[in-house]
Amino acid sequence: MPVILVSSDNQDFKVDKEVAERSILIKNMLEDVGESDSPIPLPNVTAAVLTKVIEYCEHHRNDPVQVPEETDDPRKRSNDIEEWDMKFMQVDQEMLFEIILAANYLDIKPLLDVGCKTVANIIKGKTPEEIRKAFNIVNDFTPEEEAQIKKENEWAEDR
Amino acid sequence: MWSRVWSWTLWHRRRKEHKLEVLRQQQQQVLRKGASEEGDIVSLDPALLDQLRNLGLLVDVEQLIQEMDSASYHPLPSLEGLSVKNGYFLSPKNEISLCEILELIFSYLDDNTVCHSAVLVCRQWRLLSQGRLLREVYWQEDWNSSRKQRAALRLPGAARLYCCLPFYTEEENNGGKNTICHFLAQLEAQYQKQLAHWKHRSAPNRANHNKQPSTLWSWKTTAQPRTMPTLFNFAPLRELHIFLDFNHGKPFNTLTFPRSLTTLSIVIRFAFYSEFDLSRILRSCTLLENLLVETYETPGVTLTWATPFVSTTAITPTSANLTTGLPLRSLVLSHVMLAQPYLENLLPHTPDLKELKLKGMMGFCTGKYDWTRLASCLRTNSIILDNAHFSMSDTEMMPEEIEHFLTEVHSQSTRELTLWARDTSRSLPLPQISSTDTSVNLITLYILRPSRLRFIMRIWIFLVEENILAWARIWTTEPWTSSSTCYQLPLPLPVLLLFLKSGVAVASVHYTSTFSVPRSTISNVPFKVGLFMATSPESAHFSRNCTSVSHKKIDTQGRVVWISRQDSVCLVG
Repeated sequence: MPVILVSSDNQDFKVDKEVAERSILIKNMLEDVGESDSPIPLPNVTAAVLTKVIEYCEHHRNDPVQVPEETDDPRKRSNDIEEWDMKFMQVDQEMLFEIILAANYLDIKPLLDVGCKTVANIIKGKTPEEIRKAFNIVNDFTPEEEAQIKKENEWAEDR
Repeated sequence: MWSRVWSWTLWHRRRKEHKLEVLRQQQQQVLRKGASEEGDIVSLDPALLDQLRNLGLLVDVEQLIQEMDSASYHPLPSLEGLSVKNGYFLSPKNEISLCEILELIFSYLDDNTVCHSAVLVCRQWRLLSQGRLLREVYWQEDWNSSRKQRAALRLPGAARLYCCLPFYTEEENNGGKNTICHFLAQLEAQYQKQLAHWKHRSAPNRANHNKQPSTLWSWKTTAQPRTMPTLFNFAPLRELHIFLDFNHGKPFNTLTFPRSLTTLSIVIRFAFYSEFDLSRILRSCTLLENLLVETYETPGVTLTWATPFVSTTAITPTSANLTTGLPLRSLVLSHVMLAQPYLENLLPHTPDLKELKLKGMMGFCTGKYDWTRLASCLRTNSIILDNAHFSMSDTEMMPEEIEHFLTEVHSQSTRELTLWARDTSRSLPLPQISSTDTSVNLITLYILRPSRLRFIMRIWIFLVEENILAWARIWTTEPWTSSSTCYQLPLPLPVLLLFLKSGVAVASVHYTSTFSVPRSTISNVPFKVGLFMATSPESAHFSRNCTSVSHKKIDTQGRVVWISRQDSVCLVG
């Protein structure tokens, strides 16, 4: 049975229930509401972003449910992105952020992971100044604080 | 249902606005106190701003603002000055400012990027990656006073402390003002003060709610600090690694172990007829999850058990959470004496225990271990271990004991198998090592007779040739011995080269001597997992004559290697 999703700019998207339920938010909503034809408003997602999200969900509609890994290690690998996902994420930075935010809002963990891995790969190898430039971030450290942080992290540097 | 969602959103937003208003009022009070006569906020004393920052007020406000819809937020008049000067309160232009998303992104970054790039981007990034930045402090008791005072300045907020206590120090005879015992006691007092403050703040009807929490500013050392840290609140010490040289029945029973510790390792060398009370440590450090006590080049250290745990409710009322027991997850003892009844007294209080390694236990004072009885005790207390190892230094396991260990104690699901070299034989049943992910640890004596060494090498070669080994770790230990007719190689070079050529990652642990391989030997080795080799902190930082401190390097393909100053790889770690 198809489900109608309504973007923030009032565009309707008709998708299979199976595809829509890749989003845990929508899945829970459908379970709460039960059988209903009423459209589901998604006020935080624009039509352009929703199109991309639906494209992702369509492609991954048969993927098994991801089991969260239980590990104490905060470091994860960012170089295991599938080829299709990598191409899917080749969008401008603004769209990339929008997709991540939408994945977070719609609770689509695999999409959120892929988005975050892509951003992590952008960050890797860049200096702090290059990162600020890439993400339009204001440097709010004083020079003294910057010096202090560098000193604090000396232990991790090669000597 | 939608109306419920919207009303919840509105309520949540009002709550945030209310919190913001309260914070604003608190902040204005502090600002008024520190502002100049004209009330010009921009001309505030920078130290006061740092103080505010340390109290978390600025951060809280910033975070709330970022969480709020930027369109609905108008900077408060008293804060506009700050935003003009430092850009603190600019609405975020980049959308990736949600903390949980940033944290997820950071989780995909390696330590190198976090330490050298991410933390320097902006204040928010720094705060979010703080959990990944464990500040380490090294301490050697026989350093001169000024060096120790410099190290002491880095202690508050440090997460990990490596500490070497040599045999004799001048300080000790001079009243101990600059000893690590003194500073650890000071850290503990600070931690307790902080705990009391948190409890006070969280208690209802608090009377002094405006009293500021203690921060680094209240930290006092005997020296005048050169620079005051501005970015940390006080964070308690989590890990303490003590290396004790030439201990003759000295200081552990009087040393203050901070209660905030989650990891404690004690490595003792040349300790003659020494003993200390293990139960005291476990009672005082009630957050302890990992405990390691190891000795080498010594006849052994006796761990006493002055105050047995009578029952679950008998742990002192001020210490552990009585309903859940001790949080201990890993207990590793190597070449020490601990009577089996003491261990069996502890086990009912460690429901979370996942690693129990009793390596080369000495039994000439406390008696031999009955491994079958120990396994039965584990079963009685429903403890299922992920990693286990049992061995006595001077006694081999009986064949039935080995079989019992492998079938009853050694978990079927574990991918790590730890064997005592003396217990290996041709008929050793190796039931679980069929996966390429299996890691086999072979614990050997550092000083090993050639016949035994040849036999061990044959086992390794078999494992490598069968391609059932991805990780090999050889833990060489050095129990007390007076024999001079033994083989004295920590890791035989031919075995190492065999591993490397076969793509097996190797780590070897050794404490006293470095064993180097020319870098060219390993430059073209195809690693399966990675090659982790390092000088152990004890030998690198605490050996007086040692200059080859190793440091982590990450090569272009993301592999981690440890390179020493001499441009060779040290096979110790």
